[in-house]
Amino acid sequence: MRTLHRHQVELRAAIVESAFAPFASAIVPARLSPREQLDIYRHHYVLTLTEALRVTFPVILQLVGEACFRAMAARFIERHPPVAPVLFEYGDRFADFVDDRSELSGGLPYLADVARLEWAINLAYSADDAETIGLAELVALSGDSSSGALLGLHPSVQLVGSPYPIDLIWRANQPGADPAATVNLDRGGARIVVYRDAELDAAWRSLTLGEDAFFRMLNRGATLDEAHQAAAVHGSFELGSTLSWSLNAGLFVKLPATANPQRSFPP
Amino acid sequence: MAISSSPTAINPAQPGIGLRAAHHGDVAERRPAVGFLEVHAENYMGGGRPIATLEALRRHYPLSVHGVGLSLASVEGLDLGHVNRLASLCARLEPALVSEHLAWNRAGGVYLNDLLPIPYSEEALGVVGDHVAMVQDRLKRRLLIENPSAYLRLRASVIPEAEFLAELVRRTGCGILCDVNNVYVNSRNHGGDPRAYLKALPASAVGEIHLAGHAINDADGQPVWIDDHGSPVAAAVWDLYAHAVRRFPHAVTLVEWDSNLPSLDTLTGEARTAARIRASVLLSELSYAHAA
Repeated sequence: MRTLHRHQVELRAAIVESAFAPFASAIVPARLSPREQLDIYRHHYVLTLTEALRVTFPVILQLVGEACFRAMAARFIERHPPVAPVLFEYGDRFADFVDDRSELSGGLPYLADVARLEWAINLAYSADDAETIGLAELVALSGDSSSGALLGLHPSVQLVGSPYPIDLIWRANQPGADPAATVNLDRGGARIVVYRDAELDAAWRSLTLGEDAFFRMLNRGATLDEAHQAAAVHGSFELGSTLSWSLNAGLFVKLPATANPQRSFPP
Repeated sequence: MAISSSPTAINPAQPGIGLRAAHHGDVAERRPAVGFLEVHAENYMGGGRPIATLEALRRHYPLSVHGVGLSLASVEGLDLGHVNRLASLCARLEPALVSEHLAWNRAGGVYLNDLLPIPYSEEALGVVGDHVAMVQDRLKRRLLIENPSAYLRLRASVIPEAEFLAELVRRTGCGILCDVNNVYVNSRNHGGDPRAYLKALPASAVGEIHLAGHAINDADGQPVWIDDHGSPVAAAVWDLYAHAVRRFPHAVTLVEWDSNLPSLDTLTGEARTAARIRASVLLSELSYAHAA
């Protein structure tokens, strides 16, 4: 192995795995020991990635507290080091990690789903830009055959579901929320659409069962008519009012004629 | 209404500031009198508000795009997807300057979120030289390469850093971003004369000077100088900056602040201090020239 390659493999091991010994012999002796010098790098790596997770998952931090969050982050960073230099994209596996390690989450069964909501909010904030359409464009697009029209969802749009009231939990843990307020877990689950609003803030809205089915169908590439039929199974669904708020919120984009809008969301 | 074109040239007499997200609103609203704005490329590689803010600001300020993620010294090659994202960003923002670091941060598919040192050797020159040339070809523009701070020195280093940079300039036509805080921090941690370092850089290639604060930490009773960009520029670094201005009078100056972010006023105050020092150094050079 050539020198540069060996250096990079060994310094990576020192930083990611705290395996300091192999690289120590490559270092010129100095006032600080090799271990102390390498610790500066290791410390910076863990500290800055923890900070990135803290920015993306503020409600998880609020729910578990500083010490627990730091321990969770350290384990996560060890298990899932970043693979790309765009730090706002780091943390896509954090929710699954929380799910698999319930001993870390202190018996909060909803924690992983709250992390999923926060990750969706993070993605919505930084998702690619795309031109949204309003009601007039939808009408023009559909022409005579609105039932067969394909609607594209904006890249920021995501659907999050949970058997727990994660919408209420999220709200109760925002800055300025009443610290004495409690959330009744018996209220049942939440179905949420997350998106980016006209002010470019990440936003979300709770969905009825019908609306949830409607957006999940559209997301799978169904036509407006097919999505409507699936949603109508749930009695309360009203196509007009759902289209009205969702077009206003900028959830839809025009699809190119040949587009295949298949995307996969977690079930 | 006429559409005004964006400012694309930086006046070296007007130092710039590193723009961080927490100052977006303040800068957009108050439009402080600074020469340019420099941003970390990777923070603007998505859609939404960050890039929209920058696209609005570029109508009023020249921009400098400062990458931290290219890993130019990675022996396993460039991440071409990331190079393409940088190219798209530069096409969208048309910055006056694009810069990166003489460092690496990717190995075995892991991104190490730091600017890690390499041994300065013929082998490393080959790797970095090839990568700088590839990125310049893709971006169709010159890169400025920054001297890094380092907390250890490598036995395999056989070329002084300034000479390594000079040779990189000769091979690739790149420019140099001289971070005087890094030069100072390295000299405190590893010895060496920081003024001699500045003298050894090829003056005509230095297009930008970086200034930032550092911390002095304690490691088992030993002081260690850390380039944390978390405080005002230190007096000794302002002294070194005066030397850098004398040596690189055409370079533009930037003040960076990343941790313990201060108010925008404090940051622009640092930029004004830089402008004052630069002007007084150059004026004194002028009077020497007349007296001679």
